[in-house]
Amino acid sequence: MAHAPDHSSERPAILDKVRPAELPRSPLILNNRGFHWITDKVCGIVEEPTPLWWKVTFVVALFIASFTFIGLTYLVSTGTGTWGLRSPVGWGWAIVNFVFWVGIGHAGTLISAILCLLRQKWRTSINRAAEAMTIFAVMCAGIFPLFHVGRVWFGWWLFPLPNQNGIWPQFRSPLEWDVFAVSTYFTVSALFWYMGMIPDLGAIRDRATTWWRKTFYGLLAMGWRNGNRQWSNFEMAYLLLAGLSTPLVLSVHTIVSFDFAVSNVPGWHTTIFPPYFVAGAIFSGFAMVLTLMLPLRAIYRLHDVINQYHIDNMCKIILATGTMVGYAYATEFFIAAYSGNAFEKFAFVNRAFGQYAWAYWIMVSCNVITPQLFWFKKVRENHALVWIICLFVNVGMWFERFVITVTSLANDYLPSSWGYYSPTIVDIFTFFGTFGFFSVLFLLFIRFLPLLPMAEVKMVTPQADPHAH
Amino acid sequence: MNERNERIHGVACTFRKPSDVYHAAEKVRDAGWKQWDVHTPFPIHGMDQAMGLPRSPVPRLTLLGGVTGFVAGCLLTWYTNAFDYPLVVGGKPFWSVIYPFPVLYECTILFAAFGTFFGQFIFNRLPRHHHPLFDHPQFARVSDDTFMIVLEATDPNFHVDESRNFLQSLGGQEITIVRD
Amino acid sequence: MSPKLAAKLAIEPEAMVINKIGALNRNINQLVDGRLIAKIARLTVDGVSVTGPVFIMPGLADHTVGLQLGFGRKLGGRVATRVDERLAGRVTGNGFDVYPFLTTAHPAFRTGVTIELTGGTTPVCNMQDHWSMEGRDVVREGSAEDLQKNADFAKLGIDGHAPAVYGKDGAMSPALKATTTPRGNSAYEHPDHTVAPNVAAWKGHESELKIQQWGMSIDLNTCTGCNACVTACQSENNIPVVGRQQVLKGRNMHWIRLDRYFFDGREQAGNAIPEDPQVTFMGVACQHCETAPCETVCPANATVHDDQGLNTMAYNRCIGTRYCANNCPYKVRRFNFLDFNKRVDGHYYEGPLGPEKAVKDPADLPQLQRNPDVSVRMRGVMEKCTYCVQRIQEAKIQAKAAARDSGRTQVADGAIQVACQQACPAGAIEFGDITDPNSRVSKAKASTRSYGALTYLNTRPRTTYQAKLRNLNDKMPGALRLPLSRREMAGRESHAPAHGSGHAAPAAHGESAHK
Repeated sequence: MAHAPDHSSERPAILDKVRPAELPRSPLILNNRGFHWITDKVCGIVEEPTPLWWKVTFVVALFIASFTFIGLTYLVSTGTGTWGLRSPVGWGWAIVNFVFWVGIGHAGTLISAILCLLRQKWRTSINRAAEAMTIFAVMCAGIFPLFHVGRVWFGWWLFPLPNQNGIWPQFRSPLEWDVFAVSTYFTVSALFWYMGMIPDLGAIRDRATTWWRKTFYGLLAMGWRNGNRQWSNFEMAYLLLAGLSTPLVLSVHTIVSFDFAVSNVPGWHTTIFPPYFVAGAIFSGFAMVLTLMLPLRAIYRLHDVINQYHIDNMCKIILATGTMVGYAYATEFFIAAYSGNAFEKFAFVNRAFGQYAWAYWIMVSCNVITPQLFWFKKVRENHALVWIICLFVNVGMWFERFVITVTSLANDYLPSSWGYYSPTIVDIFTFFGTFGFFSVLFLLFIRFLPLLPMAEVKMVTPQADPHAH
Repeated sequence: MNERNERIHGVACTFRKPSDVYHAAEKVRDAGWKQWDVHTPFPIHGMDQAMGLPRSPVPRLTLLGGVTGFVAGCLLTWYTNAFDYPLVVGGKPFWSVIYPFPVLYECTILFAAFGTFFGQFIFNRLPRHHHPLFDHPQFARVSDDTFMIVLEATDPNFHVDESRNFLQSLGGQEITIVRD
Repeated sequence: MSPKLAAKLAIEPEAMVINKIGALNRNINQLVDGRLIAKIARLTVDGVSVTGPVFIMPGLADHTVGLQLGFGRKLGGRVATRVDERLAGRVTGNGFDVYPFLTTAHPAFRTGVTIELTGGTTPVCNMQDHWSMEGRDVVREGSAEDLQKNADFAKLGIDGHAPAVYGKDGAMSPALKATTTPRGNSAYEHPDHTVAPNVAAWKGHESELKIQQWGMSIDLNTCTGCNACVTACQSENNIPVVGRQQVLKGRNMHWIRLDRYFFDGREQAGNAIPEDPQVTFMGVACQHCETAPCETVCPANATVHDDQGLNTMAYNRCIGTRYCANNCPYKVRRFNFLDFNKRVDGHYYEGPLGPEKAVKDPADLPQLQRNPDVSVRMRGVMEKCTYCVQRIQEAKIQAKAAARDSGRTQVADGAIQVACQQACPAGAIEFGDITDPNSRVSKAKASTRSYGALTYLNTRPRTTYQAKLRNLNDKMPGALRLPLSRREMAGRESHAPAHGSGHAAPAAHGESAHK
């Protein structure tokens, strides 16, 4: 580029002769697809008759979801003892599952909100599905703190509602903070997701031919008319919700991490937990987004709107956050050793070499080692491999929460209380059923709601620029 | 139907490209129109200025919601834990800004989000499931790939034929009358 | 049996995991998923055989086997047979019967016994998996010499290093500390325990606030580990018997437990069971911490502090999140995982289809045993030692009644005897008002041997311990300069390398428990 002379404020003469080269950017939409193609593509998924693969998958998902239903019914009717919990491990699979699902949900908000504030245009292809994933993941997560309590029918006492005891909840407890955090997160995510969908619901409504489709989408679209006066308020509200969701998502997993960090259990009581948990949440969430989007992309032929650029970016974020998580593991060890506190030092050596060492090493290999493969372009372009690595990442993140929760409780201050926790069949089936529950919800979303945000995708095409020639 | 007995909502024309509708909108704004709108499948960058619109008022409700949330959270935690039924819990203070801070923070965000969400609906005057434009044949394509300018009859500048010519001068296609 | 004999029998502990110095740590007590799976052995003498599970006991004389009599009864009668089984016409025994070895000629011991492993295994109920204290400062011991040289020898471990909890308020009298709850080095000011809640019910009655503050002292020196306190607590507080299967799962409900630690003096609990250890017992019940970590984390306000210093448990408010149990560093809280009070062992998992109440015994024995002053907890609620609050309340009521209008409603020292204190034959437990410097408990706490467990956590427990003194006669051969526990602690604190894996041998040795 030409440099202007020091004392000159006029336009450099060279620019009259030569136009500066523009930095080539990866195209967000391949094959130069236009607006109509995008509308057809996305509305087509909703408008076509239900595909066979969808019906089969839905039935299977319902079946798996029934495990959760049956497990929870047995749990509530018989007692928490049907799980593997014991003294001293009062929290086992249930809380691990809770943090696991909440963590997965965070990527959706990151994509929707944080990438929006950072003006990352590539987010538009995936943010609708990612936000849907958030909401369904939070629903799956919310099952566990409610049902893991000994007396589920009194769970409503966690809310500040008048009751016969005349007592209020105790706001110093991180579990109480969780009630507010997770409810707020669910509500705000749902509002954000729904509001963002209104223009697209309007688009489906405008193309609808059957009366039930017109009614259903018409009602949901709230009379959206695509006028710029409406877009003006809409865009402002969207930006504001993104701006609110950003501190929200950071705070929610911070508060979830406080369930551990605020206690005095060795291995839990560390200030690294908030950023460590948030990084881990984003890590597992992006892996789940890819786990969902790669098959959908193949099934619905979305290769033009979700292209290698998007997948590259997601892989890189997984790599970055995975490295952060690995760094956090190392820092925890270092600080425990440096602290000189015998209980803390023991807690960490115990994780690596004690009775749960098997879980620890699964965690490390899945979380620290596997994502490093994403340094290599060849790996990122091999989508089957990317999908498998993402599964490993989620397995590893589940084990991370398991290692944190169970090893610290199993071997804490007084050696006389040490004990070994293992899950029961009820624990296991209840957890795997939540994957079915999640899949049921996600399949319903794919079938009936716009998978991609059409308006946003159109907005980032080169043709949408009003100053383009 | 007798054309003379029908009320006219306005005149509309379509455009194929964002740049066309953008420049057209600037001219409409410069001509002094106030009751009109540009309908696009997606928000066009800079269209607010092209139309001469002021900044959206939604942030005011957001702020109101946020402040309400914070105060409500403080009141809730103070009333329940320090006033109505104070209990000694772990030797912790009955109320401080520190321990209920997560609750205050979440309440702030929740109410600010409500303010934003409902603010958007209020200022957009939605839900409104009936509007003359929904019956207009070209309107269905607006959410697809068509851009439309609608000049409303309530504007002082409006006159059916002159406005139609005006739209033609802007380069609009398919100039039509929108009936109520 | 003794460790040497076990080794001879090649009850070779399985290799478990490589510790960080590359040595193979052995699963010394054959723990599988946290349960002790013991091998079954057959003993034969004079043609008579008995079988039983093998339990490797540290410190037992070499090549000795100890047998527990009393189990395996065939005709248990009303007491020893389960009610529902007896009513169903079945008579069952529990455990392994070793009575055949007992004859009039040999009423106490046998010699010349042969032993072989049968190849079978059986899980053995054990309430404490880990026998080593890992060099932590939970039990503190010294010698008479220590006491003479340094009266404060009990201020060991992290407490000796960490900032003093009371800070500049450390010089306050115990009575003032208990009533005014000074801030010390805490991050915030603590509310007084004697502040009347700002609710209408207390208006005009503030003077009725009892300012007596309850506390307890347990003398490790006199404790013999007899378990009478455990039994007394169970009877007094309607603690359910959960049965063998649940104890195997780690769900025993005892509010007070006797921790038993073996000390072998080595820096880490190594790969061998100690053959010549020292043993100490420590009775641990709820410490009623003034700044209880359990209270802070209960979201439902089910466990709060009362004005006399008790950490109270409101069963009807508890929704059972179990966060309090997680946050208790002493792990004294017990959770009703199943319907232990409503169901009989064997029917816990049957949900709504199981028998709703324990099968009615015509003599109503289980019901007669219950203490009417203590509520029976349903499943899903947490429970723990309450300092026998029912006895405290009874004493307060009687003192009030006796005082009539005089206003002298203080409970006299000794009027309250909590269940464990009452049953202790050694008088190791003292309980009473710590604001009264003349009470027995205040005097016990004033002893220089007195210390609190894990006080560096700023829990400020109301239950303190008095350190054990060992008689170390240096004229004896093999005399020890320090109790073995102190040698273990010193090894830990010297930060010698290559240790820290003591956990990795979660060698479990319990008491008898041949079932």
